[in-house]
Amino acid sequence: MRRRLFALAMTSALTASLVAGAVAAQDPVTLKFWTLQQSDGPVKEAQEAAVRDFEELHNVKVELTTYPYLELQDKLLLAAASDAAPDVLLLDQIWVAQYAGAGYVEPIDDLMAGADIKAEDYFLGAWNSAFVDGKQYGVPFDVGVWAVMYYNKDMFTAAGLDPEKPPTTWEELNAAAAALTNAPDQYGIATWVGGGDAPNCLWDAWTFSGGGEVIDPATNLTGLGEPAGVAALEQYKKSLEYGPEGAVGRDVEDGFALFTSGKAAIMFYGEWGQDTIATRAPDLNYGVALLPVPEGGTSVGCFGGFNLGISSKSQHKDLAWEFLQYSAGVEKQKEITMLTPANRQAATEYLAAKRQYPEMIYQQLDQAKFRPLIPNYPDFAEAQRSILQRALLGDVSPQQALDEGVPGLNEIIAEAQ
Amino acid sequence: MAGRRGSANGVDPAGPRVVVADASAGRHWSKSWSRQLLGYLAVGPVVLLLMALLVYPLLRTFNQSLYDVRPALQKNEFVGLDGFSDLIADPIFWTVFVNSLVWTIAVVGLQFAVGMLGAFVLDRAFPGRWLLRGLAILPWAIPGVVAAMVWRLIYDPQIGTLQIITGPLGIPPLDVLGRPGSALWGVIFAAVWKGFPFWMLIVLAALQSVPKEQVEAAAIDGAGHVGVFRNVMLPSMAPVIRIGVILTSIWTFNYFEMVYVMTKGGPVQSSHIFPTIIYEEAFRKLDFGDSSRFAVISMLLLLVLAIFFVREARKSEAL
Repeated sequence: MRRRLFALAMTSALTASLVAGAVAAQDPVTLKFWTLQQSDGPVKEAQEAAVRDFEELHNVKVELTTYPYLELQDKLLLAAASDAAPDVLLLDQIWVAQYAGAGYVEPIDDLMAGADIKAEDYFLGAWNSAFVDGKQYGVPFDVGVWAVMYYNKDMFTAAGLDPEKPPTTWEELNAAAAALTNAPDQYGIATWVGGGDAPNCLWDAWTFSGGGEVIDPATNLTGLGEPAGVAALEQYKKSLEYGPEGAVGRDVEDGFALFTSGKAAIMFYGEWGQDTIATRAPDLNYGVALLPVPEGGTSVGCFGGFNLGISSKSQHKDLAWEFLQYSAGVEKQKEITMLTPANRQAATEYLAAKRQYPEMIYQQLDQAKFRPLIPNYPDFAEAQRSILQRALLGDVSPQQALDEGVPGLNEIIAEAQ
Repeated sequence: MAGRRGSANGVDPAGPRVVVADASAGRHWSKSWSRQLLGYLAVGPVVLLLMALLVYPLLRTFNQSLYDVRPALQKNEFVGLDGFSDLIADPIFWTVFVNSLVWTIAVVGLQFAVGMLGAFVLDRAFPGRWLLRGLAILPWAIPGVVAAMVWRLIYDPQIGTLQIITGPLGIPPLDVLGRPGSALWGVIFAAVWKGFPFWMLIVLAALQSVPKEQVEAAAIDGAGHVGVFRNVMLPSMAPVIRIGVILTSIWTFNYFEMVYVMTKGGPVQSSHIFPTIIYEEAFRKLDFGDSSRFAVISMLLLLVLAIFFVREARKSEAL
């Protein structure tokens, strides 16, 4: 009997401790913030240092957790859906509308009223990426642009091309890529498609550059099936001829490895790739140029980057707002952003100090357009990616893939209205 | 069998006490009642936990499958069974359905075949057997995500091991994971590699239970290798194999990380199985309604397997 009682006591104690653990009280002045690591650079240390300064400044604790991109994407959404999100939300531009629609992120219009922070201090595209249905849901943290062209100058010289005159149009690009291709030892372009949002961005950027729109604001229909979008998809497909087999299964980071390992001469990647090249291939003699455009077009990139928002379930919204202003200020931006600072002044200084071709990058950031700001963007992106993959796999022509896919895209846009 | 069970009861200290209880009812009634209460109290918290962690989410999922729940679009409407009929009309559902069947049958079948071969090899005594037995377990001991990453590299059309082998044979580079026709099969082979050691262990253990004298007797009576295998070994291993098939089928059906890490369900959504689409719908698209409908259908399919499992488990208990 005694033994049974003991067993009962143990079982109950175990159960009780499980339940108690789940509802343990939180320290009242701890601000939670989840961030991410996106390039090979010392950003993590800088963010930790900045957080320590903030802790001293406000006499609070900040719990900083760093994730890789995909983990952050999954964990943050899961946490928000179960009312357990961190106080400060680091939101990719394409997540803002989704979070705003679901009510996971707090509008900051009232807080903005008395604050020093001003929209015009930031890249317009970055600021507006957090503006959904007439409300501002966050401040821009950093920005990136898909894509710029990285090219291997030594390979250009060896192929008889002028390394100081990189191709600027699709025609020049295809000609240069053909001259640079010597399969299977060397390829003209480090082609990639893969499963993430990067291929959408490249298609979008080429569409913007031809004067097209991903969603036409006048009609609320997709512009991807219009001539600029079709031409962009055809060029995407054409570029695969100058890359190694298997582009559809290869994601953008695999493509990056082809470039840094000297297998390919040209790579399209975000403007923040220089740190990673410096770490992986410090001796690579490379240049950075605008993304080549269709004849008569202008190079307009596709915006990427992150905004800072406040969780609607946060118990410390005022403190979180302080943290947002602190992180979005000129001084901190120069140190702690993963990509280029979203604050114009910080960006100018940051690019001058850390990047080759700073003016070109600044110009790209200033002109870039963002991806559709609709709450069901993940649906849109997947449908768009399916069209892209079908066309690139060669089972159907780009035009046919679009003819079959565009109605689906328009349905998704309509659902968001 | 029955005799053995009886004798096992005989040595149970609880046995005689029960008999005595019948003799003097009143006092013992309260005693056995208090013991019963103790029993309920002991299992109570566990049952409550199970209710909270299993039954509640299950009912919630069933309930949610009747709604259109898309928080980002502020949708939370009752749609009843229309949600299911819409889902079944969507081609992606049938892709997932067929993929899940192909995936489960192919992975379990091939794992079984390879594991069985491995077990027969390792059942024979030869020098260095201990080492080979140890090495053969490795794939099973590696975490699924790691194995999936390694197989992505193996299949890489540029630097992958597969191309290093097929290249010199004049076979052009295969983009196994990048084409809709081959992506799922690429993952299937990786999963077979990952899981066959489990089958090898099961069959090895089952082989120990085959009565050696029967094998010898059959051989003396002139049964060939095939005959001995089919008529003597297989029947005595059958119960273990049946349960193994059912269990690994359930695990494989629910196996998420290999497919997700290797293909993310792509390209063109061609390699999704139930667990990956449930995840995508819920945590990428924030469509909890469709996600629940996929989950409910997947659970009904698993229920069929589970019923087989319970029947088999009963059967082997009766042996």
